[in-house]
Amino acid sequence: MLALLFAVLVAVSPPGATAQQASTEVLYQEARRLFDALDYERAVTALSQAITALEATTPPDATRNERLATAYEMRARSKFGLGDQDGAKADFVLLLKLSPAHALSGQVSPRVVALFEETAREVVTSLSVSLTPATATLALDGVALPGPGTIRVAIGDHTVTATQAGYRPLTQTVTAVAGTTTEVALTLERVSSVIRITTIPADVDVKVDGVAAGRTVASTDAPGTASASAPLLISDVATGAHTVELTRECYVAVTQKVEVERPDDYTVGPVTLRPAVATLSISADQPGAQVFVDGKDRGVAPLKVPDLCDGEHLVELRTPFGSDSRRVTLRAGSDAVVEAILKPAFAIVSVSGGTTPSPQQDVRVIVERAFAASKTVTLIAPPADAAQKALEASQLSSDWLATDTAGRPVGASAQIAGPLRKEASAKLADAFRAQGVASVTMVSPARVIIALLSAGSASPDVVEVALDSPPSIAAAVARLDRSISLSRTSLGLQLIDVADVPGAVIVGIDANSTAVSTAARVGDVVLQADGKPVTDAAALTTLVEAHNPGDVVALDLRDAAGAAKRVELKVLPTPRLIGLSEQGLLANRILLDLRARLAEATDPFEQSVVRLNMAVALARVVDWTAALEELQRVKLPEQPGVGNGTVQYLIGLAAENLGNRAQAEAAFKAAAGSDSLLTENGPPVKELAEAKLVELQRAPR
Amino acid sequence: MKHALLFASLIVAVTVSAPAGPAAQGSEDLARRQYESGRSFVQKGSFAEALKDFQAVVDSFPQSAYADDALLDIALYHLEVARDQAAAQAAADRLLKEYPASDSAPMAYVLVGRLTIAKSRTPASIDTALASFERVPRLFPSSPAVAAARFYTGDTLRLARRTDDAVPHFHRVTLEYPRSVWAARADLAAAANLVASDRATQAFARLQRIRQQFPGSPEAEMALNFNTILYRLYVRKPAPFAFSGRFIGGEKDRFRDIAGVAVDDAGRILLGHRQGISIFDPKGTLVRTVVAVEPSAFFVEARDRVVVIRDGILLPERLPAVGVMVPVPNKVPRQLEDVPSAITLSGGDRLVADRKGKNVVRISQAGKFLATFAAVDAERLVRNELDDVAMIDRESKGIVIADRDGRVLSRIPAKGPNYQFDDPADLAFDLLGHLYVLDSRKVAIYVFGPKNRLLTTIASAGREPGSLQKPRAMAIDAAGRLYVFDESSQRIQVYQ
Repeated sequence: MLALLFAVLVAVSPPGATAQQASTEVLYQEARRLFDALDYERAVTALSQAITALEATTPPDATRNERLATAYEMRARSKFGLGDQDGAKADFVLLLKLSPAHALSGQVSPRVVALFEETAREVVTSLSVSLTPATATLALDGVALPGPGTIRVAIGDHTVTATQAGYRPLTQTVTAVAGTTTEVALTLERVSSVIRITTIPADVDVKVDGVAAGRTVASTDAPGTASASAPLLISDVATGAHTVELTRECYVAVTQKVEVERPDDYTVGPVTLRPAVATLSISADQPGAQVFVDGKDRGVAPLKVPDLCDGEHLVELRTPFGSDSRRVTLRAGSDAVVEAILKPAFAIVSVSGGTTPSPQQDVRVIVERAFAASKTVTLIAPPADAAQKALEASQLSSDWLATDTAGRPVGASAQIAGPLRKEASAKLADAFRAQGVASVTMVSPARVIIALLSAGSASPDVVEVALDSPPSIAAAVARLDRSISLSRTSLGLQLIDVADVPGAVIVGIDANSTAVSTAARVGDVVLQADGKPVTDAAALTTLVEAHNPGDVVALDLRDAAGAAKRVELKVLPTPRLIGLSEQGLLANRILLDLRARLAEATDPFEQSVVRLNMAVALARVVDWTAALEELQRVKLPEQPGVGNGTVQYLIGLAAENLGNRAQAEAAFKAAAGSDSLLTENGPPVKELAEAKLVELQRAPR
Repeated sequence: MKHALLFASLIVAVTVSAPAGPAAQGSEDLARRQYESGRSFVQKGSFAEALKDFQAVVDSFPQSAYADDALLDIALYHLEVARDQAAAQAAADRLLKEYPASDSAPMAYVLVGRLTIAKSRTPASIDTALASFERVPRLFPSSPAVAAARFYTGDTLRLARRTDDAVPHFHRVTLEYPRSVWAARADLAAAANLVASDRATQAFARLQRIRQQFPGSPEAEMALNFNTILYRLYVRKPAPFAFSGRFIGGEKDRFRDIAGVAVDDAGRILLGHRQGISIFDPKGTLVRTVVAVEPSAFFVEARDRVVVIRDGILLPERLPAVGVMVPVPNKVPRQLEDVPSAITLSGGDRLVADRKGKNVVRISQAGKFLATFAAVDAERLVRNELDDVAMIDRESKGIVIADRDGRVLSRIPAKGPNYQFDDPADLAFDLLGHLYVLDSRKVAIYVFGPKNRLLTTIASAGREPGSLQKPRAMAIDAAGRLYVFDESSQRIQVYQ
C-alpha cells in the first residue's frame, strides 16, 4: 500500500525539488508513525524508502541531515527490535558517519544503547581545531563549523578549511584516529588589507577612492532599527591612503580618510550620517494653486514643506489657468522660498519637417529653454515618449499641426478638419495638464515655426524663430509677452492738437461724459488739468490715465472768445478691445490670459470687458459658438469708442458665421445705429455694419 | 523733402535675408556694407551717393542677398525722389524678373502698381494697378508689404474717386496692421475721404489717434496739419483765421510787381517779384534769392527746384532753359510768350497758362508740347493732392476745376450763394482739398469745401496792422496757414 501511495504521489506530483521534498516528508512521517506504533516490520520498509528518498535529496543541508540521522536511528532500533543486530549496527555506522555527535533520543533500551556506544567507539573519535585568526571561517569536509574547538568526527581522513578576507585560504587534511583526540592547528597567512565599514543608519552607498564599493545593509541583529549596519567588507585594499565616501539620499554625506600602512584589518565606523533636510515655503500669485513636489501632491499654496531632502526637487504649482514648474536645489538646514508665478502652459507635443540641429537633441527641449524667459507663458516639453504616446492615442502624426510661416497648415495638418483639431487640442492639453498644446515645424536646422493652440482651439498662433539667434528669440518672446490692456480712463472728451494753439482743443463731447452738464464746449481749449499745464492732447491723456474711474479732474479752459473757465469732470472707465483681424496677434495666447483674468474678475464692468475680448479671441480661433456665448453676457453702454454697438456688430458676425441670418441682421441693424468703434482706434461699426447689411440683402435667402 | 522722408522710412522698413552659404560670405559682406552705406546716404538725404551704392550692389553682387533690396531702393528713389517713372519701372521690372521670390518682390509689385497709377488714371490703368497690389497678399501673404498693398489699393480707389470702395481697404489696413505705419497712412487717407464726403468733423478722432500711436512720425505731423485745417474751417468760430502778427521777410523788406507766392514741401515761403524769387524759411527769414528779371510766374517742383518763367521761357534752377513751342492750327508753331501761371503735376508734366492762346497747355519736363489741357484763359493755376487743377478763368471770373487729364470736373461761378468774385487774383488748395480763392477787389478769401460749397469767408479789410487792403497773392502751407501778399504793405502777412 505504501508502495502504491508513493507511486501515486510520484505520479501526481509535479517534477522539481519542492515536490520531491513533499513526498520525502510524507514518507518520513509515515515511517515515523509506524516506528512510534512499534510496527517495526513495516517501519523498516517505510524507513528504507524514506532513507532512499532523503539520501537523494539535494542539497544535503542540516535539516536533511538531521532527518536522515533520525531515520537511520529509527531503522537501527526497528531492526534491533526485529532481532537483526547486524542490520542495526550497520545503520548505527551510517548514522555516526553522518552525524558523529549524534545522541540517541527518547527512551531507549540499554541493549540498544550498548550497541550504539560500541559502534560509536569503532566509528567516531575527537578532533581538536585551533585557528589563527579566530575570526576566520572554518569548514570541515565542506561543511561550515561554528568555530574552533573540539568536535566529534568520524574516524578517518578529513579536510579542514579556513578562510578570511585579507588572508590566503588554508586547507589541511587530517586523519582522525580512534580512541584519541587528534589535534589540528590552522594559521592563516595575511596577504592584503580589509576595510570594515559600519554605518548608522544602514543603506548607505559606499565609494572607495571614487569607485562604488557597495551599500551597507541592516544588521540582522536588529533589522529596521537605527542601529549600526552590518559591516561592509572591502577586500584587497592596497597599501596607501584611501578615501571612503558615504552617501545616502536625504543625509549629509560623510567622507573619511583611511591610511592603510600594511596588510591588516581597518575599521571605519560606525559612522553616523546626519539627516539632511530643508524647509521649503511655497506661495503663488494666484489663489488655489495645487502644489506638487517631485510629483507628490502637497496641498494648496501657500504652504510649508518642512522635511525635504537636500538636493534638487521639482516644484510644480497648478491651477486650471496656469502652472509654474521649477527645479529647486535645497541645502540641508536651509529655509527656501518659492514664489510661484503661474503662467498658462503650452505642452510641446510634436516636431515635424526638416532636420534637427543634432540627432541627440530634442528640439522641443531647445524650444522650451529658448522661451524660458517669457513672463506670460510657459512652453513645456513633456518626455518624448509621453508626447508620442499621447499623439498615438489621438491617432495623430507628428505633423498634425505643421504650418508654414503664414500659419497655413502643411502636410498632414492640411487634412485635419477644424473640429478634429479642436478635440485634439483639448485632449492633448488635458493629458499634460496644460492650457494648450504646441508643435514645432522645422524650416531649417535652426529656424522653426512654433504653432500654439489653446485647449479647444482649431486655429493656431504662429511664431517663427531662429533658435541660434538671441535677437530672434528675444523678439519672439517679446511677441508672446506683449501685454494687452483691457481698459483705460477718459473724461469723455474728444481732444485734438492744433498747430499754433497750445493746449488740447475740445472737438467733441461724448454723451456719457460729465462734461455735458458743465460749461465745457466744443472749441474750448484745455490749458490746465489739476493745476498742471496741458501742452497737448497726449499730456492730458497721460494725466487722466493716472486717475482711477470715479476720480474728478479739474480742467482750466479758454473759450473761443478768450474767456477762462473751470470745469470738474469725472473720470470714466473706457473699454479696449483686441483686433478682430490684427495680423500677428497671438489669439491663443491671449485667450489663455483672458480665461485667467475672467476667473479673478469681480467687477461687472471688468467681467464684461474681459468677456468681450475673449469673444474676439475665440472668433479668431474660429470658435464662433463660444464667442457668441460670451458676447451675450457682455453688458456695455451705448457710447463712443468700444461700446454696445461694438458688441452688437460682433454678435452679428458670430450669428452670420453660425448661419443665423435673422439674428445677424438684427444685430447689424443695432450696430448701424451706433457711434461705437470696432476697437478704440476704429473703424466705426456703423460703417462696417451698414456694409454687412448690404451684403446680407444681396445674399440669397 | 516729404517724399524723401517717405523714401527713407521705406528703406528702413526693408528686411534683408541672411546670406545663403559660407562660400559667398566674402562678397556677401561686401554687398552688405555697400548696401548699408547706401541706406546711410538715404537717411542723410544724399540720394545721388545712395544711388551709386545701390547700383554698385546690383552690378557687382547680383547673387548677394542685398541685390534685390538695392534694386527696390533704386526703384523707390526714381519714383519718389527723381520722379523718373521710366527708370523706376526698369528697376522694378528687373527686380521682379531676376528676384521674383525675394523678400523685396512684394514691395516691387506695390511699386509697379503705384507707377501704373502715376502714369495714368484711366479705368484700365486703375484695374492694372489694383491687380498688381492684389498679387502681394495672394503670393506673399505673410510679407510686411501686404499692408502697403492694401493701403495703395484703397488709395488708388480714392484717386479714382471711388471713395466708398476705398473705405473698406483703409479699414482693413487699420484692423489688420494697427501698429504699422501703413495704418497711420490709411487713417490719413480715410480722413481725407471723410472730408471729401462732407463728414470732416468725423475725421478728428481718427487723426488724433495717429498722433498718439505714432508720435514723432511724419504721419503724426501730417495728422496735426489735417486737424489744424479742420479745426479752423469747421470748429473755430466766428473767425477761422486771425492775423498771427507775423510778416515774412525783414522789417524793412518791401516787394513790388509780384509774380506770386508759394510754399514748398519743406514749408519755405517763396515770393516772386521784379528782381527774382526770394525764398524764406518757415520763420520768415530770407534764405536765398533766385535772381530773375521781372518773372511772370514761377513754381516749385521735385527736390524743391524753382522754375522761373520769363517771356514764356522756363528757367529751371541748375538746368538749361526750356522754350516751349505750341502748335497753331494751319500755321507755324509759335513760342510761348506770356505765361501768368504754371504748375507741375505729380507725374512730372507741366501745365502752363498761355495767355496768348487763351488756354492751358501740357508740356513735358523737356518742354515738349503734349496737349492742350484746358480751353481756359487762366490767370492762376493750382493743383491739389489728387492732381485736380483749379484755374481762374479771366473771361468768366469764375473757377474751373479739371482733373489731371483736363476733363472739367466742376466750376465755381463768379457769383454764388453768399459770395461774388470781383477780381479773383489767386488760388490755393490746402492738403485736404479745400480751395481758397483770393479776391483782390473784395479784399476777401473765400474757402470752398466739398461740392464747391462755400465754407467760410475770410475778410480782414482795414487799416490796422495785419489787415488787408490790396491782397494780390497767397499761398497756404501744410498746416493751413495763409501767406497773403498785400500790395499796400508790400509784404507777406501770415494768418493762422
